[in-house]
Amino acid sequence: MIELPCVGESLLSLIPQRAPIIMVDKFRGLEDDISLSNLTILDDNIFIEGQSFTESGLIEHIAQSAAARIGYIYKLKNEEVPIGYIGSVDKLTIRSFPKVGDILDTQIRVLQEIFGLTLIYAEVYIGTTLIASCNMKIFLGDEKK
Amino acid sequence: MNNEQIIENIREVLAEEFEVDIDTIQPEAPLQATLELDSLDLVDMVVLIEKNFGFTLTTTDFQEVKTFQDLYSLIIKKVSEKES
Repeated sequence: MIELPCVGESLLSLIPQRAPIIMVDKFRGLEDDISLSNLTILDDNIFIEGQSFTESGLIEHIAQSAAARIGYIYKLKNEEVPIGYIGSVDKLTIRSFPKVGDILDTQIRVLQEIFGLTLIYAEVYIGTTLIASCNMKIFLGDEKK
Repeated sequence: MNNEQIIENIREVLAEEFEVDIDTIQPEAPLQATLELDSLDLVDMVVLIEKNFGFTLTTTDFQEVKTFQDLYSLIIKKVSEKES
């Protein structure tokens, strides 16, 4: 059983990454099949350059948000969590780069699951402002977390 | 939409999306090789078809799809099921 919101050690059971590359700090579950996750940008985040969170950091955050979704679903089924890999990132749009102290609020919607691949659409908000979006293809490997 | 229109629609959409000469899209031509699709592109093709025709496809649907004719037959069948 996973309690929501999922944070700390419980969150780490959903994703394979470990510090200092953890780019999700809260998983809030699924609403209408859309997963909800957060990251507070701290000044010691490895993806900070100057005072801004980088494009690479945003992509990693989206990927980990998708991984947390997969981990959560597998945990609900009492199955081992598979490790997901990014196949591609398409249609990436970044409207603004987050700053230290911002809280990313990310929604992941699955567009298609076929041929062992999952195509997701991600939207990253700060408050009510959409700051980034993309499509991402993820494939699940045979390895378990 | 009749079968000829469905096939023409598929050819136009695929030629535009995957940037190939529409004349290379012939019924017996191999789908993946002609469109130079890798596994990631296949997902894009599925999403494109679903968006254009308004149904969903599964991996099982594609088990026998090797040529464009196979794809046309699959889509015509799905359109027919949707309309019935």
